[in-house]
Amino acid sequence: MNTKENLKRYLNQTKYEPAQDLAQNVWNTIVAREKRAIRFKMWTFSLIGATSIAGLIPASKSLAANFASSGFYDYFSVLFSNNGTLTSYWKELSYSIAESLPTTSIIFTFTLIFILFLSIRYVVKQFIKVNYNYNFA
Amino acid sequence: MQDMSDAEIIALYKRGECEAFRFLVEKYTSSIYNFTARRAGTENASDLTQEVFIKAWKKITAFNIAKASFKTWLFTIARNTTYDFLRRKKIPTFTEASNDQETETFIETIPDENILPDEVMQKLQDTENLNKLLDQLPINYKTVLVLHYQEELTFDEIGKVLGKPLNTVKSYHHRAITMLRKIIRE
Repeated sequence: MNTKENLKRYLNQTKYEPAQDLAQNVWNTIVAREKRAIRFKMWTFSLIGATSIAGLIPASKSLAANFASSGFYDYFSVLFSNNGTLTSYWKELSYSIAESLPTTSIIFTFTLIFILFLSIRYVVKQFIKVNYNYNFA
Repeated sequence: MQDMSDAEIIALYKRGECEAFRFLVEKYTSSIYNFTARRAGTENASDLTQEVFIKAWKKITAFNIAKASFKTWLFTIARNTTYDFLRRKKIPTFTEASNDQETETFIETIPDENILPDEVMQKLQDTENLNKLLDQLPINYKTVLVLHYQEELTFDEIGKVLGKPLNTVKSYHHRAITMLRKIIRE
């Protein structure tokens, strides 16, 4: 056996060994931290979701009011009334319908709906993570 | 999972299998504990080991297996953690910032095989004595011996851990052996 191998053998005898439960303790700390981070994210996304629901109520009311005041329903009803008018003035009618759309309200409402679905998705994801992905045993 | 390589376990973790990281913790706790104990003392080793794994867990999504092995990466974190700890505690780590130019120009002239004569080797057999001897070595020399002989890292990998060129690591190794021999003979 050469010097290098002997040195390796002797040095391996001097290895410090950790307490038996150290790896388990390290893992428990990691899991606890991860769970804390996940819970924080879950509450944050829940709060965002609740805020978007709360915002959706006035936004949808405003959207309905804007549809009514813009004359969209009137133009839209023409589509189902007189076939002769529709074929003659379809281009003008399309422009009028498009112009009467309350764009800002629509964008705002759909953004809120998008945020709501996104936060629901994240909350479910975090819920699965915290309840099924980690074991302490 | 025990038959899987580190790279495979990390890939599994990144795919959402959180328990995969546990295997890495169990696999390397002993090595990291020994490493931190050698550098910062046994009384601080448990806390430092925990800190190392928490740091690794936080950064693992950014870890790129193509750049370095997980083992090398983990020991790099351990080295930085112990270095920060020693600096915080104001324990001098003068050899961490030793003169690299001097060490890089150092040329190994004695082959490793016969570097330690038999009488020295006999004294090294005493574990308690060897522990005391190791503690007398400068931190980087000790680190090279621990990583090379106990953790079986190559000099190239040790260079990555310490952030030093290969020649510097070889030089540290040679000096560590020479210093061990000198201390034993005194």
